[in-house]
Amino acid sequence: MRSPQAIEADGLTKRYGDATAVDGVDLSIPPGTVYGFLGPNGAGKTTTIRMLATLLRPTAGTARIAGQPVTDRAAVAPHVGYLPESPPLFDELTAREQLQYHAGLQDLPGDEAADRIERLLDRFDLAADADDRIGTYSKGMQQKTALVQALLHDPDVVLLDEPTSGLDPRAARTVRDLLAELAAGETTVFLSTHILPVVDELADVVGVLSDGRLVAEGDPDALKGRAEGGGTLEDVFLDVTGDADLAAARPEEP
Amino acid sequence: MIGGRVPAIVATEARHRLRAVGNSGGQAVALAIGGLFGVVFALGVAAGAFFAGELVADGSIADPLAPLGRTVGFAVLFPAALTAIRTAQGAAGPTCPDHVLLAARHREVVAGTLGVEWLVQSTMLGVAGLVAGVAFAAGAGSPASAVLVAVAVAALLSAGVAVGLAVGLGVRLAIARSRLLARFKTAVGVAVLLAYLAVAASGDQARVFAPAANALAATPVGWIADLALLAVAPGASVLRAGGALLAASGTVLAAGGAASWLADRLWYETPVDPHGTDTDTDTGRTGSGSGMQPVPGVARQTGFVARKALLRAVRSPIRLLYVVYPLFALAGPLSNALGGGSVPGAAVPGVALYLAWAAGAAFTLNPLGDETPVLPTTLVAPITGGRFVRGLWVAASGIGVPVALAAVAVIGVAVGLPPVDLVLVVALAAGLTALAPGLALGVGAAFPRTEPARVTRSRRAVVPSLFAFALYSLPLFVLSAPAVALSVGPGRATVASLAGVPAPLLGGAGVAGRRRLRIESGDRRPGVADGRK
Repeated sequence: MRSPQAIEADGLTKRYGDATAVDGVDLSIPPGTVYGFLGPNGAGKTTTIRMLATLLRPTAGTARIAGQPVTDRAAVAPHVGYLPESPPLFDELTAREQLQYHAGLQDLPGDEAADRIERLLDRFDLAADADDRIGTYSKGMQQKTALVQALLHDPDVVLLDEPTSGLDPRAARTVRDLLAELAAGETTVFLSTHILPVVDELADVVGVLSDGRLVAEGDPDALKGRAEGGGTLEDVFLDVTGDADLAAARPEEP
Repeated sequence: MIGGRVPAIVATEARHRLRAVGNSGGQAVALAIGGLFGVVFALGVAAGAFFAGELVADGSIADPLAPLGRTVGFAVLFPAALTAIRTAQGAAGPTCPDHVLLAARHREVVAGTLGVEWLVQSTMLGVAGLVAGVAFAAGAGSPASAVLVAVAVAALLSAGVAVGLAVGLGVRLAIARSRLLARFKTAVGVAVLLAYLAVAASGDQARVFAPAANALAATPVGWIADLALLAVAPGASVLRAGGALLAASGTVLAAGGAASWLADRLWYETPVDPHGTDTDTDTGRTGSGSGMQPVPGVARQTGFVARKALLRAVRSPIRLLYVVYPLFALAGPLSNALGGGSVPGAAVPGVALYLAWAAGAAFTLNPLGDETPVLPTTLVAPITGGRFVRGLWVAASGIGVPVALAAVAVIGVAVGLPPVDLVLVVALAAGLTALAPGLALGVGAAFPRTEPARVTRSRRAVVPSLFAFALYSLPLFVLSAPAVALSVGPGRATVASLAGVPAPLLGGAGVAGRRRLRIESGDRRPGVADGRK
């Protein structure tokens, strides 16, 4: 029997009245893949991620996470970690308390939770500040704490919406290294970001969403070879999202 | 030197505030109702001023300067206090400080803020003053008095607003520099508010604030009475009137300068971290390790939800300020009861009911809204809805029941409740405080609110919806009414009388029903207040 794909979607659609936010998206992402999810503002990326995270019910189509339908939140929950655009944290708690709370919700055993929390706090240079209230953190520290939270229960699939937003270069590098490590295992990373070099460096597969439709998908190198402007992921992005003129007008890199 | 940006700052800020009110239906309605009361108030003031003018003109008031001089002190104090409160709460500052302070010098921003606050106060108080001036002039038959009173009102407002702005900025600067003040500013603010409400409920505002008003009236600013009455009072002095104008102008300049100095130190420095320590490398520490531990006796997930709810409540009590709102309504009756030297026994089950209501309102009336910052990850976590809401119930009853038991027992003993009543009221407190959060959970889950609302002038938080409050409070009060009534003697006697059953059947109501509890000049002894004492 074939093992299930980490993320599968078939005709995934979300409509708000007459407006279609996501229009028949098909996905088939094997375990251990880093999937770079690109698209202009308002293309429907966050709506797609929220449907995959079980937070939004699709108008049509189906989707599965680790073989579990996204309409069954209880079945999907143990398999998914989610980092939304705004760090989901309580200002009044310390980072350690926030992570302990999340570990509690995930029903992780106490010792195991404590080990993981300490390891991840160390990894992200947060250990020294872990007993400070999150309300006193910089944006980058909050983002790192939220990322640790998303990874805390070692999910099969992590859905990350702009994970490097607000991070300094060192922290962003830590995130990229960690995502690469996760993908080297069996963890699947669904990565939505505007920072194309991150996708270029990490992604095994890139999907570009435009006006709710998946207009391009494939290996980054293959996509770059097909782009009219030729050469970079930015050219691919501009090409398939309707900004080919802008791509063509871009000066040649030395 | 104040530059030409001040009018632009005033115009922009005034436009912003007007639109903010216009865009908020609730604020617009409140403003309209306030305006209606303002019209009634202005008409009353006008009528009083008209008759005062007539009395001054026909010589019935021999020396009008003296009473008006005393009023002048209050007339400065009131706008000063209003402006100081607004400034201290952050409501009087620029809306986008970073933007404005980059484009203009801080002294221009202070002058602009002063101008906006002057406009605000003029709308509220100046119009009433001008109407009074016109009415006084009409009554006195002295058209010049209308102009003189208008100038006097403008001078008083200007001086009061300038002083208030400086005081308010001083308070903010003190909070920004003192970790202790920053940490306890909410508690201090609530204490000041409760103290004011106690004074207001006692009806002693005039006596309490008289020393400050008299002190102000004794300064040259008090000579503004001469200015207002220059055309009609024989004793009014042109010199003193001129001196009053100079004094008011000097006050505005001095207070404006102080405000500018304070603003410079407030706006361009980072405020202290209220949760930090005195070392820069150790800011924001909780000082007591992690507060997130399992709760014995409940499921692990449930316990963590309960701990989280309690930690947030303790560390950010301002979010729960709405829980004390009913106390404001009770301030008057309580003050009267205490002032009269007696506390009715029926007040004790009222305390039990309030504490039960508060426990539910604080922890369980908005279960989804309270989780707003982390709702996406909580929803994705493998915790059942049942365990989640049980966690909130554990927090509400875990803190609510012991507090209610202790408070009701102490108050019951203090006011001398009979033993039967005491036991019943304590049982009532425990029962209601355990049950009310459950009712709140049902209502709050059905009618959540996730958008933040303004809880103070400078702070927004996610609070339960008004509809949820109503749908929770009314059934709680109605359903608990029989138990509340039967928990004390007078209630049982009334119920027995209405039901036509012997009072003893309801538990000793025959005797206790006639008891009234009395506290006399610090001597707490129960007495019978129905003529049998």
